[in-house]
Amino acid sequence: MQAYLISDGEFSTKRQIELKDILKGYLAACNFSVLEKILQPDELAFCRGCFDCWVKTPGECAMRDGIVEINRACMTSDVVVYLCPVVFGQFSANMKFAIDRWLPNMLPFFMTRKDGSTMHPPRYPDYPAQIFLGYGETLSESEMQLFTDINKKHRSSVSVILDRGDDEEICSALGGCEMRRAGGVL
Amino acid sequence: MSESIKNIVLVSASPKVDQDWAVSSFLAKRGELLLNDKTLDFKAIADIAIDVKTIYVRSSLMHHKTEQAFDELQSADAIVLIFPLYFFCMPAMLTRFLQDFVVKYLSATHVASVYAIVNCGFPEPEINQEAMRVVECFAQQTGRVFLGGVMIGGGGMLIGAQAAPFMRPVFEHVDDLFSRLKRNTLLEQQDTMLITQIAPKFPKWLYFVGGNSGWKSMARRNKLKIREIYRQPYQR
Repeated sequence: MQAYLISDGEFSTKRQIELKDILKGYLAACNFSVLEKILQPDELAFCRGCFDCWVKTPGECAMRDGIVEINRACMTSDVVVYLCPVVFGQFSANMKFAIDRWLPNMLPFFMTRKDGSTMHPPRYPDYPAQIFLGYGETLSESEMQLFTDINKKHRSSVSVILDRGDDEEICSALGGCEMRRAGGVL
Repeated sequence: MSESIKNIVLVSASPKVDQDWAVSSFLAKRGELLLNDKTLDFKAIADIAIDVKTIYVRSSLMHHKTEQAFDELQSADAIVLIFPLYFFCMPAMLTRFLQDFVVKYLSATHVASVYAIVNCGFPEPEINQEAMRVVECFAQQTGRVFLGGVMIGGGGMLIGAQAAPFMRPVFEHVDDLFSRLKRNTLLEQQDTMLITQIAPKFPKWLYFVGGNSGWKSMARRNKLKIREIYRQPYQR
C-alpha cells in the first residue's frame, strides 16, 4: 500500500517536522510505503482556468510542470496526506497551487448530488483517501472550523485533522481516518 | 477647503490568460466605471474625493510587479477582492498574492475596510460562503474591517449573457455593493457587514444542458472524440 505525503517547504517549522515524523511513523506502522513531496515556491504554475485538462488533454494538465508527477502519484496511491499550513483559514499558497491543479482528475460535466448541490462527476472509478492535516502557530477556533468546512462540506471521502499541539490527539485522529481508496462521487 | 482623497483598490484576481473573458476583470471594470461616475456622488460631501485603482493580480505576479501592488493595497482605505471560486476557496494565484502581501505588510496602519465579490461556475451562489469567510479571516488578521460582499452563482454565463434580462438581478447586486462601498467611503460612516447572494434567473437544468454540451463542443473543436473526454491517464 502506498501513501503520498505532501508538505509545504515554505512552512518548514519545528512543528511541521514533528508532525511529519508522527505521520511517517503512523503510516509505516500501518504497512504503507511513504512517498514524499515537499512543495517549494515557484515550483508549480497556478491553475489558469483554461480547462484544457477537460477538453484538450483530458485527464492531464496542459502545463507540463511538476504537477504531472504529483497527480500521477496522487491517483496511484491508496491515501494522500496533505500536511497543510493554514493561512487565512484555508490552504497555504504552495498547497493551493497543487490542489487547484487536481482538476484534471475530475470530469467537466455538471451533476447533482443527493443533497441537491452541484458537482463534477468523477473521472476514475475510485480515488485515494485524502487526509488534510492543518497546522499553524496561532490558529483560532474559527480558522479551524473554516478549514474543516472548506474540505468537508462539499466533498466526500475526505478527513480533516487540526493540530492543537497534542501528538496523541493526532495519532488518535489518524486512527479514525479512512485509509483505503474509495469509489463513488467525490 | 482642502480636499482629502480616499483610496479604493479593486483587486481583480482571475487567473485566466484571456482577461477579456474573466468575470473578475469584467466586474472590476464595471466597478471602476460606477465608482468614477460623478453623478453618483453624495451631495453632502464636498471635501472628500475618491481615487480608484485596479490591481490585476495575474499581471502583477507574471510581470514581477507585486511590490508596487502591495504598496497600493496597503494605502487603500477600501479594498474589494474580486475572484472566482477554486476548490471552494480562493484561487492559488490570489492566495500567493495575499500571503506575500502580509509578509511585507503585517497589518493595516489606518482604518480600512474589505469587501469581496466571489463568483462560481456552479449555479448555487451559497457555495461561495467559505471563500467569503476566508476574506473575512484575511481582513481580521490584517486589522481591517470586513464589510461583506456579493456571492454569485452561475458565473459561467455572466459575460456571454450579460445583456439578457435574466442576468439583470446579478448586476443589480454588484452595483448595489459598489454604491454601498462608495457611500461608506465618502461619508466615512460605520457600516455593518452584509453578504448577499445571487444567480441568474435561469433554469438549473438548462444551465446543465448548455454547460455539458459546451464541454463536448470544445472537445470536438480540439479534434477529440467524445469518448476521449473520459480518458484515465493515471492507472495503478
